[in-house]
Amino acid sequence: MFFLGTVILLGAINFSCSKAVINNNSGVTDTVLLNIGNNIILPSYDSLAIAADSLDSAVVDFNANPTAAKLSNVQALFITAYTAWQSASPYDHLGPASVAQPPLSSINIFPVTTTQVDNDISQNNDNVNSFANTTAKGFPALDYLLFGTNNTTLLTDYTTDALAANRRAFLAAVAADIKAEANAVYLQWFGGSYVTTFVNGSGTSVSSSLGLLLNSLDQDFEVLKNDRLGIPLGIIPAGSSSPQAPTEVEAYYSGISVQLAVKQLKAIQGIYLGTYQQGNGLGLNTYLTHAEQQNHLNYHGGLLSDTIKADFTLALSDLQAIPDPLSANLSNANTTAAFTEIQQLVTLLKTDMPSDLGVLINYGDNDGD
Amino acid sequence: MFRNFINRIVGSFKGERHIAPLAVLRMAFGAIMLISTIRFIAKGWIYDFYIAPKFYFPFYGFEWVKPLPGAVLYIIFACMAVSALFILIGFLYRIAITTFFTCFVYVELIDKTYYLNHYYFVSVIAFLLLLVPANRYFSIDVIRKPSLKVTSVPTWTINIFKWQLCFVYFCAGISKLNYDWMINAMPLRIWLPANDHLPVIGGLLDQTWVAFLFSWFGAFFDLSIGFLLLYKPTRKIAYLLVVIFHVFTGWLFKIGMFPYIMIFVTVIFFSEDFHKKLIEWLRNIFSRQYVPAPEQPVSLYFTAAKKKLLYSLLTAFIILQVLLPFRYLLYPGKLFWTEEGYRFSWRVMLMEKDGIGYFYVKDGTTGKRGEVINAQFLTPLQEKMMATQPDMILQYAHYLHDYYKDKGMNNPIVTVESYVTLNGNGSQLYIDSTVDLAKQQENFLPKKWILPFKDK
Repeated sequence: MFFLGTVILLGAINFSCSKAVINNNSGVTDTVLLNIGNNIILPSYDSLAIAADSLDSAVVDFNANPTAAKLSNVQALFITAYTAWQSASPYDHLGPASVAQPPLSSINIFPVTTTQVDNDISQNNDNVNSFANTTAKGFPALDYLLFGTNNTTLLTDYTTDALAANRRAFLAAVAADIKAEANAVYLQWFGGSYVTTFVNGSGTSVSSSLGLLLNSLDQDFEVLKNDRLGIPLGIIPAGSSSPQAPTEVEAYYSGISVQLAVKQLKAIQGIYLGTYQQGNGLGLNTYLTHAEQQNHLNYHGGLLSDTIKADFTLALSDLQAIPDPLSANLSNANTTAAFTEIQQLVTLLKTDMPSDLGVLINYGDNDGD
Repeated sequence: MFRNFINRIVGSFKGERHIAPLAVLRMAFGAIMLISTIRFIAKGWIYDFYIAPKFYFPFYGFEWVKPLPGAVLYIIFACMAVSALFILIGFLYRIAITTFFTCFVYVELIDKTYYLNHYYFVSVIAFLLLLVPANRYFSIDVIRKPSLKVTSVPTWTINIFKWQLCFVYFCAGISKLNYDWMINAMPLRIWLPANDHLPVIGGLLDQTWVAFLFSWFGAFFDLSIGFLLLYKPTRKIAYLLVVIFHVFTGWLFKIGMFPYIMIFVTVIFFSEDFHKKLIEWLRNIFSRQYVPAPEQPVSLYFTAAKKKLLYSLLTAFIILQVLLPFRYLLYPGKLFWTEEGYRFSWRVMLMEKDGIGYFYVKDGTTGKRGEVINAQFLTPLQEKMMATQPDMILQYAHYLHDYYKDKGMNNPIVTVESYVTLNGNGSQLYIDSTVDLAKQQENFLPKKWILPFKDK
């Protein structure tokens, strides 16, 4: 009876207190989600869709009349779009991007299989969403198509070469696919109002917005650690005999790997801090600090939220210190330092943060009382 | 005093009682297991847990238990559902309960990733139901063969369940009497605010005093509920508490079927009359023409040989049950950290533990070292569970050793850099990262390569 009494009493107290008196977490989470959803995620997809549209138009324009100037224009817009992608990739495993067919992450599976691209061109096959083209589409394919050799040779490839028409068609197909996939996801977030679902998905279960977001961030962070750095460095995977794998870097041909990685890390840092282009809002650290203070938690004497913040700064400065192209700078001490620092961040984001927030990243049942 | 207590316990196993409580327990267990099994199948967990993984974590000594091919697993779960239904209606009971027990335990033994105390509890109850004549009253078996019907059974066949339930709750209560739970209100202090979006009480759940209230109440509940259920004057209120407590925790935490299993099974504590009335009521539902008639009392007696067998089985079972939760005393270090002697001890909801393990495999000859991508070998759930449990870390390390050896690596050296956070303490190195885990063997001895827990 005591327990029943307690429950009723708790309910009564809650109703009689105003929200202002009870400093409750859900207020914080909701504001955090609102800021991340409206000010960070939505603009990221918006920028990506706009950049993909411009890129596609530039490709159409170039194909109609391939000139050196138009090639440079396409190349510049490719870099803009690829950079915009980095700010959207942290949400790859969340909502519309993950349920899209194919998932949005399919437009950046690197390294590109160049033999498949060459094959498609010689066969005049522009079905970029076939299974065989899994690693021959999206930005990595464009990277090869637009930077695979010097611009003089490239221009002949698209004009006088025997396969020029096929190559132009394939280039157009890849660009059109990026445009279609980016717009489809943006429309789901915006017009399809997934953003409303996101900002209202409170709670801490696997399927809550916070659970989904943390899960998606973790997975994207692993791409940074494993695919962008670990594999080229030869640290990953176990069992490979080659010391380094420079051709496995992201954007190998355009040589902008570090620039892209920095952009991705800044995007994740932005979600953590709640910062966006036009200003500052509440981020995951607000929520984490709140939980830490509420529950008197600490991380080896300090606040976990501060430690993570400092680690982001460290990782970012290590990463920015690597000169592009990454493929030529794998032995640079900063590269290994950045990898180690990013691994440290992964540890905190995957263990301490969900633990302190009580976020369940669990898929079965838990032990009962 | 102690002698008196022992005498009372022994005494409670003597004599004979009406069989009604046993028949009700059989039906309750069959019903909840039927629902449980269907839920498990419907959630697609057969595929996710037992078909999708490339590698499984069997229990020590049961490495020979392997998952059967997918189609066979589906048949096993179908058998489990059908036998649960048969247990419920008391049809071919011996075969049904044996099938259920075998299938259930087999599935549990495949992979310790999915170990839950309530799965262990189900195995235990199924084992006990295997020993008792729960089908000799109000069952299809009795309708088919009336000579099976008895009205009285040896008291122990009923009281063994009460003893088991009291023991489960009491152990769960003892395990809550630790510094983190009582003095720090951990991990409820983290878990409750995480639920603050719930209606009505949500806003209170991030109040520290509420976490303390829940912690202390939880410990008090677990320690006393068994006795309150046994004692007739408090029984009704105790059962109401059981229902409220379990429904409430089921609402707050993602604990699946556990609350309902406990609510169903604790029905056994009610009096003989209650169970008789319940059965009368059920009879009326199923047959409108039913006219209650005085029962011919028939007692069930076990033959001397059968008695001897049952008593020795029970004695061994009880001794094992009593000793298992306390085996952790034989290990040094903090139990929550090392988890040596943690399972099969009714320790529930005590830890917020999370971890990550970076595994490295080094070629013994060339010295080339690489980091393993765990997702290549493990499902997300397996990886998560493995990261905080040393015996699973060891199993995985051995698997990696064998995998890379097969791939042609010379004498693979497997090490792990793993970080674990426990009850809000900042993550710290968990396993000695210099130790070649491939050379360490699993056994019951303390694992020296687990680094000691440093409190903040």
